Amino acid sequence: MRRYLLGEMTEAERAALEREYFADGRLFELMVRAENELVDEYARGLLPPPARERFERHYLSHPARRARARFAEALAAKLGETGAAAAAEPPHAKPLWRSRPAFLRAPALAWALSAALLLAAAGAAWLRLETRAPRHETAKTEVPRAAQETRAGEPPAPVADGRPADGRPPAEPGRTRTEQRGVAPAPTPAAKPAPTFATLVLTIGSTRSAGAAPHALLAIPARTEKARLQLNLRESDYKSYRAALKAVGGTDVYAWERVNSRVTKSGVTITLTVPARMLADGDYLLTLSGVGESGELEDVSKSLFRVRKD
Amino acid sequence: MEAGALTPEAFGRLLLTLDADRERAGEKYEDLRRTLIRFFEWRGAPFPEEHADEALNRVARRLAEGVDVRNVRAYCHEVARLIFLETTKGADGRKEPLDSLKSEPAAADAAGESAEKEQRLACLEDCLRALPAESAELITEYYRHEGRARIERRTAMAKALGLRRDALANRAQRLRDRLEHCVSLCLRRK
Repeated sequence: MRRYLLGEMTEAERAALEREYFADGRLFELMVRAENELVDEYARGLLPPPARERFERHYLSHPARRARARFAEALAAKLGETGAAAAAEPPHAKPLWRSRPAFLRAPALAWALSAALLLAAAGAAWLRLETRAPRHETAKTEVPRAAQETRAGEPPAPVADGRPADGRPPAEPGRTRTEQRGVAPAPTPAAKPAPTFATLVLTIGSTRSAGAAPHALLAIPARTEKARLQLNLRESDYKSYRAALKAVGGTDVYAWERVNSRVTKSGVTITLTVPARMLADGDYLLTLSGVGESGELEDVSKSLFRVRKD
Repeated sequence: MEAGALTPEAFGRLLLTLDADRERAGEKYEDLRRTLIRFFEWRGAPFPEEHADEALNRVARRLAEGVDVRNVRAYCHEVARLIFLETTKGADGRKEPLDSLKSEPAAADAAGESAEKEQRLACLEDCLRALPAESAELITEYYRHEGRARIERRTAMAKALGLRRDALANRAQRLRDRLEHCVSLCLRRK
């Protein structure tokens, strides 16, 4: 739908989608909602640079669409004010759906800050580096993992509930599994095996989970093939997810479509894999969106983390 | 564009084709018109509302002429595509406003832009006040949040109102459309 709205479809694709939304009123409503989400994201400065540029070049070229974007800007500004006022209201003055704690009613315009809160919510975030086959038994488990990783977005499921599959406690940030196991490193640098994955685990709560937490750091040793981002959610409200990774202040890096979640004992896990060569030193923003029953997209989380290539 | 006003008989025939119940037919007509307007907007046609009305007029006339139309919405889409092609080939006969308006943001000076923003915000506040209190509350709550908080809030709203999330989304959308239209009219008055 966004491709349609941003003028990125071929004529044949456009015509096909139009036939569908004329025939199906529900699809048309989803299109309208997708358009609102798009203009709201633009108005709140949440569109990644390439999409923003495309939006300004294509979408804003039409007066009616431009008016819609300006309306969205006014609405975002107004809701920001209303949110601040609502936080000061006594609880009894609020309707049922506003009975949640005040900190859940932060102004929408402050979403950029909520990414930082989410970072803080990643209290259980740690770095887990997996090295390739220091022992024979490890080598056996890594082969099927690597095979699973070729299916982008599908959870390879070596980890449940933030713990390694073997049930041991997770590695501390910056420490490899090899180190935790106490396995001696290879005797010479030349013989040192290249890691298959560098994994970062992020626990996605909500903005309520604010608090002191370590910075999420994904350290990628030299010659690592892939980076794995594992998101632990409390629950899954969607049949599938979409995720996008962008460099902060830079370009889109990677996107995952139709990502499935995996239910674990304590919640839901989503695993994303990206070739390590696509990441450089710097800060990244990972956006997770849920695909609702009728296909609409809703933001689930935004996670900030830092990449350091060793 | 084709000339000629729409006769009451042709319009009545169109409504009857949409639904035997007059009230439901009226609602379907409005839905169809809304779809057509967005179609022309998304396509970048110069006068979306006028093109939408033209499409409906043509369909109504065909129906009045006895053309057998099995699926009115699909037929409307074909007519709308034809009208859009006419606009791109200049058959519209009117000067398209797009080129002149494209440069508007660059041309507008910062002070004028700021004043316009203030006017728009004032109009939005007036329009929100004109809404029933529960509608104003609903739209501000529905669109306020982002990310996880937004999902939680919408789920809680739907539950509190006894609605499915889709139904709540449609209600919020209609309110937003009303509000946007109200702001547009308010700005024209100013």
